[in-house]
Amino acid sequence: MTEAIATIALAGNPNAGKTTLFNALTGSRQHVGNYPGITVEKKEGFVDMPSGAVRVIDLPGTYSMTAYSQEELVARDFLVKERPQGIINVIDATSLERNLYLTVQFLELGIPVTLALNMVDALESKGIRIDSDRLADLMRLPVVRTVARSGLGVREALQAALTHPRKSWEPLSISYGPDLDPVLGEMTKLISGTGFLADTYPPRWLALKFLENDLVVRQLFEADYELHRRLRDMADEVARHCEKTLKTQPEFLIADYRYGYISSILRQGVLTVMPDLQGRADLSDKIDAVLTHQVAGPAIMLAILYGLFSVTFTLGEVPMGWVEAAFARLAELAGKMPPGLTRSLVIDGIIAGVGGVLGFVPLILIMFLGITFLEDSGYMARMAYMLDRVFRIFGLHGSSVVPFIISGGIPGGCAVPGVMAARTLRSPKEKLATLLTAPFMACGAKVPVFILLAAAFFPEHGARVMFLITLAGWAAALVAAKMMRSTIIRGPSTPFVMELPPYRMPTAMGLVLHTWERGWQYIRKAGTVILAIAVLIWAMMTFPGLPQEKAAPYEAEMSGIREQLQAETGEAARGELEASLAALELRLKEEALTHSLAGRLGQAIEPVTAWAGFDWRTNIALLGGIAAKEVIVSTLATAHSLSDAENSDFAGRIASAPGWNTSVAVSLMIFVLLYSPCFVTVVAIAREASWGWAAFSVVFNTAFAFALATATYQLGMSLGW
Amino acid sequence: MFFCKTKDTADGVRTLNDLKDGEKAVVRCLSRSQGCHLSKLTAMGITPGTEIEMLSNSGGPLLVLVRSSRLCLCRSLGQAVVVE
Repeated sequence: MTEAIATIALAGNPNAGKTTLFNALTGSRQHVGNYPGITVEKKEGFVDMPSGAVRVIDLPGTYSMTAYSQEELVARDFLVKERPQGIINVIDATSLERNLYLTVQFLELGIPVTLALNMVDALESKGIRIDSDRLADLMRLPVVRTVARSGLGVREALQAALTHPRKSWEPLSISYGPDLDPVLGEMTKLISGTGFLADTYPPRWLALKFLENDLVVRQLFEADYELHRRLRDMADEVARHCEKTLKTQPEFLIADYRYGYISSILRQGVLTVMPDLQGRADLSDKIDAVLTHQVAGPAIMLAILYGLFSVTFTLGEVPMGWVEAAFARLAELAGKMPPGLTRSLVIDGIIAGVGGVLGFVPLILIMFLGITFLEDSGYMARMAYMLDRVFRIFGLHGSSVVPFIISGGIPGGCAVPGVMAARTLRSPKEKLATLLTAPFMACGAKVPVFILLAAAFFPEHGARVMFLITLAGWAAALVAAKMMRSTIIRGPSTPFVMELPPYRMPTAMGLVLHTWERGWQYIRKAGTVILAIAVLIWAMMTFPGLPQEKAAPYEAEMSGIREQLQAETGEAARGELEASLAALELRLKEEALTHSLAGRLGQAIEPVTAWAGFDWRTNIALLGGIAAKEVIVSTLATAHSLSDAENSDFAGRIASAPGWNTSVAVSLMIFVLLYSPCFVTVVAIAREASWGWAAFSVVFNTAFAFALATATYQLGMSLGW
Repeated sequence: MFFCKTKDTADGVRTLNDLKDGEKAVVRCLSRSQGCHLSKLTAMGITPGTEIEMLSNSGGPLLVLVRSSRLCLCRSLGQAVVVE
């Protein structure tokens, strides 16, 4: 890692162009990780400046520095714990007043701030003029005008931050009026007197946060019982006073004075707004008139989603084929190994498992490219706005639609990128409900099961079955979301306020970097986990191996046939012999499967699964499907002693197989649609929420699916289907 | 001042939810019912004295123009913003 001469953090409101500025500064020399334990992304990079390499951190975008959201806490903790040399506060110049609200809070913390007045190119058309020299004088900090998209002023901003006149932290103190100033002064004196947390936070800032009812800061003080009690008494008293005389709380009084301070600066000739240009509809408004139109808006949205979806799966198919072909070639090479456990582990376990996962990588990259485009262009926020009224009924958020669609809201999706896309949701309860219900959608790996069963039992109505299955997925997701939101994730819907950023053409660099970093996380993390799972499943279907005395009769018969085969020359007789050899091999395989752990498990749970009409062979397939849904059809085939090559008439055979009828088929389709997410999805859920919730999704979804499948089967049987 | 006095929240007071499309108003105060989420509103620029323009109010979430940025907020928050 490069030795850095200084660390500079980038901070500012969401949509102010922070990440664009970060990309312009660092280019590809950046690294994305997560802050420990949470899914807020941590981006850092290095920039070569004349004086040496500078480490730049892109902090999450925030509107203030309260303790109400993870992003705000992360930004705050980083500043006080890592103490960067300074921050570049990226400001959307077209919305100066609101952006400075955060700046004031940085200044109160004391960190040397450099303002990057971003998007200055948009000022003129909006009729806004900003005197940046005057702003710099009045706020006593360097101000640099930038256009991050084109890179204008970007390095100058970093240079200004490095040569900031203030080298140490000097908290700004602004007046909070006659009601708060006296008590603020007393509290500050009390805190600095004890020297509590003196090396981390400025005492006045702590006092302010205490008055603002900041839970995290209040918790810090609990370490000193006496100090905490005295501060609390003071805070309570002033709160009572504000309540009585002003009908307000200190928290809001503080916000009011901050805006007052900002407007007193802006009024001194910093900001000039030409009224005749104000309110003139700009390009964004014109686009919005169409894209968020009451009638046309939703129609266009559906078209865009459908387009994104079909582009992903048509474009993705090609490179997916390459990856699959590469793994098939690898399996072929591995086939040259001597037969035995090692070969089986390499081919059936490692190559099949890891290959299955890596096959999704092209899909994921293309999907994320599309989503990143929708996000960066500003359209995603509009989608959430339009869908919110429908989804709110079910306790979800408008933004939930994207994870749903990607997971298979239109059949063929994949829950792994779907669950990862839930990251864009900001309200924790809605996010959790989305994460847990998105896997109900008809993902691409489940589709072959539906096709197979539809072909076997509803040969004339394949399309209608797929359509009904898709609807069932949506209905189940929305109903389950509603169920969870009225029980375990209960709570009023999180009130939300969200900015709709002006439409912008995303920068190519931003798109590529963002897509790649998401894709790479998938390859690395899911890849390592899936390897372990694949080996585990393989072992369960292999061990304990068939005892010699049981395998011996088959092997004796098989070697007998092989000998005959060598002697035989007649074409027809050879074919017959080869067929009976293949049949024997499959019967041996089935015998081994029955004997294996997976086989025994399948038989052990048969008494229960029989309620839904599933026999032990189906059980093995379903257990395998927890690893990856793709496994279901192939395992069913193996368990029914049929090779993959015979899949084409597998449908016919299954339709006539004992124990199978229409009720079983419908019950199985419902179960496959809804039961436990596949393992990669479970891992993704654990990463976005927690292992506890991931485990919950396995148990809940399976129980939910089983209840519905049992009801369907019993109803079907009683109707004599 | 920042918060609504009792008389401000009496019947007949208009909130953001009552504004029609294209209508402009000035924020008078924020009513206390929504607790901590009000600080989010203040951080996003909805404070007393601010001019606010309703872009779309059609039963679902509200779309407003405040301090030259477009904000989308749910109706329960809109209810908390008293305008005149």
